[in-house]
Amino acid sequence: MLEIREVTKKYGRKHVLDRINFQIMRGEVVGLIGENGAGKSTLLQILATLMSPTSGQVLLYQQPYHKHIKQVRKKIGYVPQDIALWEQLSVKDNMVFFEKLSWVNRTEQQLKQICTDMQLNQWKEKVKNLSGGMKRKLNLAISLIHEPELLLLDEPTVGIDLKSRVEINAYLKELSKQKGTIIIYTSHDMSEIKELCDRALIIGDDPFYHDILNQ
Amino acid sequence: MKQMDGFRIVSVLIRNNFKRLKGKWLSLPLVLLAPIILLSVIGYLVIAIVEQPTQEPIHVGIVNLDQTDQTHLLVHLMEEVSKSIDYIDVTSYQESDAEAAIAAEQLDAYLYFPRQFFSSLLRGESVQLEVVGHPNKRLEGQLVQGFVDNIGDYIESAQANILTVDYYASTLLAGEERQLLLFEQFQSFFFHALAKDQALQEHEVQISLYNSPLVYFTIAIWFVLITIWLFSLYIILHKHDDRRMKKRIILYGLTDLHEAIALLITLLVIMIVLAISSFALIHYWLQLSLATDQLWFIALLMGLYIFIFSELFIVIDYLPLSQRLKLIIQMLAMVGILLFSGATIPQVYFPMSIQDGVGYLFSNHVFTWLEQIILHGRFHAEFALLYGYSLISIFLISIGSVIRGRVK
Amino acid sequence: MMQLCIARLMLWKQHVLSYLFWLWLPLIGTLLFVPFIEDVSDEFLVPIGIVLEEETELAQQLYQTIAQADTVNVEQFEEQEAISRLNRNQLDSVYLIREGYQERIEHGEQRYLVEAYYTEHSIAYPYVKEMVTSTILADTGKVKAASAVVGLAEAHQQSDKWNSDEILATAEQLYQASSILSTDLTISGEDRPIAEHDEPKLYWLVWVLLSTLSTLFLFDWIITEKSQHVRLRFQYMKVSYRCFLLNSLMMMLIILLLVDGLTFLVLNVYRGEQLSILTLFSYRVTIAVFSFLLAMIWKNRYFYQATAISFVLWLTLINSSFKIEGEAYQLIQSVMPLNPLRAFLNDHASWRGLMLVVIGLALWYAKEGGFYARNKGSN
Repeated sequence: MLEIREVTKKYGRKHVLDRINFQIMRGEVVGLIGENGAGKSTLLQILATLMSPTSGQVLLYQQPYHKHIKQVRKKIGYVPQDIALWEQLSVKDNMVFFEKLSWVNRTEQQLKQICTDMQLNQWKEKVKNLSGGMKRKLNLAISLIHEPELLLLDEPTVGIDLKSRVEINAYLKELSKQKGTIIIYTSHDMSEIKELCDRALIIGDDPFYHDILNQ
Repeated sequence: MKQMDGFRIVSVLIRNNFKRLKGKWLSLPLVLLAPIILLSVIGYLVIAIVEQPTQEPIHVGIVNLDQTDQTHLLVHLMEEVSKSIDYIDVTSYQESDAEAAIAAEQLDAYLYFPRQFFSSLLRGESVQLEVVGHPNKRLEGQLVQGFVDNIGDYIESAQANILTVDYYASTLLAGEERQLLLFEQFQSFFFHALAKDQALQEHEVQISLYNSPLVYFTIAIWFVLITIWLFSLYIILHKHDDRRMKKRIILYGLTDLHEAIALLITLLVIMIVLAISSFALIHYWLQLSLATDQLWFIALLMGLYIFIFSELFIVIDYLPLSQRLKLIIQMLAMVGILLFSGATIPQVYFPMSIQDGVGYLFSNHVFTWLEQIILHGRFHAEFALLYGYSLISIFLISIGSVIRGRVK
Repeated sequence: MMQLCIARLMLWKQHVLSYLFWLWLPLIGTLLFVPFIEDVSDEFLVPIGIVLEEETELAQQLYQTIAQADTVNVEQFEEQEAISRLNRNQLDSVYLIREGYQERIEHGEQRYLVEAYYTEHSIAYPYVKEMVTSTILADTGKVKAASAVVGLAEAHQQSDKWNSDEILATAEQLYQASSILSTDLTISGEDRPIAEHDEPKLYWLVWVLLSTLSTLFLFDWIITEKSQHVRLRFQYMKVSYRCFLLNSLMMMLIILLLVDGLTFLVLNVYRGEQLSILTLFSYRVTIAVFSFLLAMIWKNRYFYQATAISFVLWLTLINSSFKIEGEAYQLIQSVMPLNPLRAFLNDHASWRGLMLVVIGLALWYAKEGGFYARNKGSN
C-alpha cells in the first residue's frame, strides 16, 4: 500500500502541491492527469524518491520514504519520460547491463521473457535501430527487471503507434493483476487513463487535486 | 532571386556566428590572451639569451679544500676573470661560511675544489667540481654551472698540454724543479686558454634595417600568435553536434557552402581587426617606420594568409573521418605550417633538401615577404602563389561541399 | 564488483577498436616516430661558410674539425661568395682563414688568427664561435706545448733530442686520453645532483606526449555518457553513478598500467632508455585521474578534444623547443616550474601532482554526492 500524507511542495513561494492525501492499494492502477505544469511530474518524482516534499510524508507498505530510502528504492520501478537506454547496445545487452547493476540476479531466459511478454521480440537488435514504440517497451522492461512493487510511469506512451500503446497497456494491466504491482501513470490523454486505470487523480484544479473515484 | 536567398542565408549565419562569440565573452579573452602570455614568456627568454643579460650579478663563493699554491692561484684567477664578466661575481669562502652565506641569501651558489684537485689533474685523473646552488635560485645555479663548465674547459685544455710537457720534462728534470716548471706551464696555459676568444677577429654585418634581432623575433612571434588565434577562433566557431538545428536549416536551403562562406567572412573580419590592432601596437612599440604602401602589402599578405589557412581547415573538416582524427590532422597541419614558415625556426637552419621546396608553402611565402618588407625595407611582394592557393582552396571547398551535399 | 566491471566492459566493447588504437598508440607511435624525429632533427643544421686562403696542415685540420661537428653544415667558398651569401641570410656565419695562419700559430701568435663574420640574425653564432675558438685553442695549445718542450731541451743543451712533429703526436695522444673534468650541480639541502644538461630521453619524451594525448582521449566517453538520461536509472541500482564511474576509472587505470608495464619493458630493456618504475606509476595515475576530472568538468566533447590537443601541443612546445641552443633550453627548463612533465623527464615521481589530483577526485566524489542530495531536495 502507498500512502501519501499531507504532501506539500513549494518552489519559493509558489505552491505546486498543497497538502495532498491519498492511498493506493496493492494491485491498483492509478492515473495522474493534469495540465502542463500542474504538478503531476513533481508528484511522480516525489513518489520516485527523486525529489523530497517540502512537508508531509510518503509511505510504501508502512515504510516512510525519508527513513528507509534505500529499501524503498529497491521496491520502485521508475520509467522516465525520456528514453533512458544505451543507444549503442542491443536490447539484450541493455537488459543484461541493468541486471548486473540491479539488486537481483536474473538469467538471460528470464530477461528475455520480460521482453517477449510485452511483444518486444527484436532481442539482438541495437537500440538505435528500434522504432519509437519498441524503445518505449524496452524503457519499461528495464524498470521491471527487479520486479518492483511500485511502478511509476511518466507519460510512457508519448509519441508511439497505437499498436505498441495497446500492447503496453495490456501488459501493465496483466502485471497489476498477476503480481499486485501498484502502478501510477501520468498522461494527457483521458481516454487512455479511462481504459487502463482503476481510478484517476486530476491535479491542477482548485483544490489542487481531485480524486475522480471519490467524486 | 536565388542569389538573393544565398546572401540572406550567409548574412544570417554570420550574425549567428557573432552571437555565438558574444555568448563566449568569458572564454574568448582567455583564449586570446593565453597565447600572448605564453609566447611573450618564450620570446622574452630568447631575447634575453641572445642579448646577454645585464642584471644583478650572481654571487658565487669558492670553497678551496685543496689548499695548494696552484689552486690558490686558480681561485685568484677565477676571481679576476669574474671581474670582467658582468653577470658573475666570485669570492672565496671557508666551507662553513659558504653554507651560512647561502642560508643568509648572500650567495646564490658556491663551488668546491675537492682535496687533491691539482695533483689529480697532473696525474691525468678525472676530477669533479661540485656546484651547490641556492634552493630558490635554480636558474642562477645553472648559470654558475655554465661558468664553471667554461673554466673547466680551460683547465682541461691546460691539463692536456701540461701532461705533454711533463711527459718530456720527466726525463730531464726531477723533484722541486719539475714541479716548479709544471706550475709555471699550467699558469701559462691557463692564461692562454683564457685568451681564446681573441683568436677570432669578429665583424658584425648588419643585413637588415635594425641592428638587433628584436624586430625579427617580434615579427615572428606576432606571426605565430596570429596563427594560434586563428586556429582557436576556428575551433570556437566550428559547428558541432548541431544536427537537429542543421536539419531544420536545410529546409531553408542552407548548404555547406553557405556555412563555409559565412565562417570565412566571420574569421576574416575578426582576424583582420585583431591583426591590425596587434600590429599597430608592435609598430608603435618598436618604432618601425613603414610607408603606407608597405602597410598595404602587409595587410594583403596577412589577409591572404588568414584566408588560405581558414580554407585549408574547412577542407580538412570535410574529410570523412572521426572528429578526433580531424582535430589531430588540423593541429599537425598548423604545426607544420608554423614550423616551415620560418617564424619558429629561421629558414637558414632548414635541411638542405627542403630549402628550395619550402618556399612554395604559403606560410613560408607570406613570412618571407613580411621579413623582406619589414626587416629589409622592400617595397614589393609577390602574390601570384597566394592567389593560386586561394583559387585552389575555393575550388576544393566548392567541390567538397557539393560532395557532402550529395552524400547527405 | 565483478558485475560492475562486466557492465562497463559491455559499454566499452562498442568502441573496442578505437580504444585499442589509443591504448597502443603511445608505444607504437614512439617506436616509429623517434627514429624519424632523429633523422629529421639531424638535418636541421647550422650552415656556415669557410674561406681557406691557405692549404696548410693546421688550416685543413681546423676545417676538418669544424666539418665533423654534427650540428653544422660547412661549405667552402671564395671570400666574396661567402660574404654575399651571409648578406642574403643564407649562412649563419663565415670564417676566413687568412694566408699565413699556420705560420702565425707556429710563431706563438694568439690574436686574430681567424676572421669571423656574422649578422644580427645569426642565432647560432655564439655556439659555432665557441666551437671554432676551442678548436683553435687546442691547436695553438699543442704548438705551444711543443715549443715549450723544445725550449726545455735547448736549455739542457739537447736541442735535437725530440723534434716537434713527434711532440705534437704525443700531445694529440694525451689529448685523446686525458680525462674529463666534470661539474655537478646540487641544490643546497638536497641530496641528488641535478642531471647535467638533462640527457634527453627522447623515447620517453615522445612516449609521454603521445600517452598524455591518448589518455585524455581515452576518457572522453565520460562527457557523452554523463549527459545521458540513462544516468537516472542508477538511482534504483545497487551502486550510484559516481561509484560506477569510479570503478570504471580504476579499470581504465589498471588496463593502462598493464600497457605501461609492457612499454616499460620495451623501452627500458629493449631500447635501454632508463626510467624508474615509480616515475612511470606516478605519472600514469596522475594523468588518468586528471583526464577523468577534466572530462567530468567539460560539457562539450569537441571542446574537450580541442583542449586536450592544445594542451599536448603546449607540452610539446615547452619540452622540445630551442634544440639549437643548449643553454636556452636549460634556461627555459629552469623557469618553467609550470611544465607538468618536468618531474617525469627528470625521472622523479611527482607526488605533488598525484596529491593534487587525488584531492580533486575526493572533491568530485563529495560534490557528486551533493548533487544527488540537492537533486532530491529541489529540482
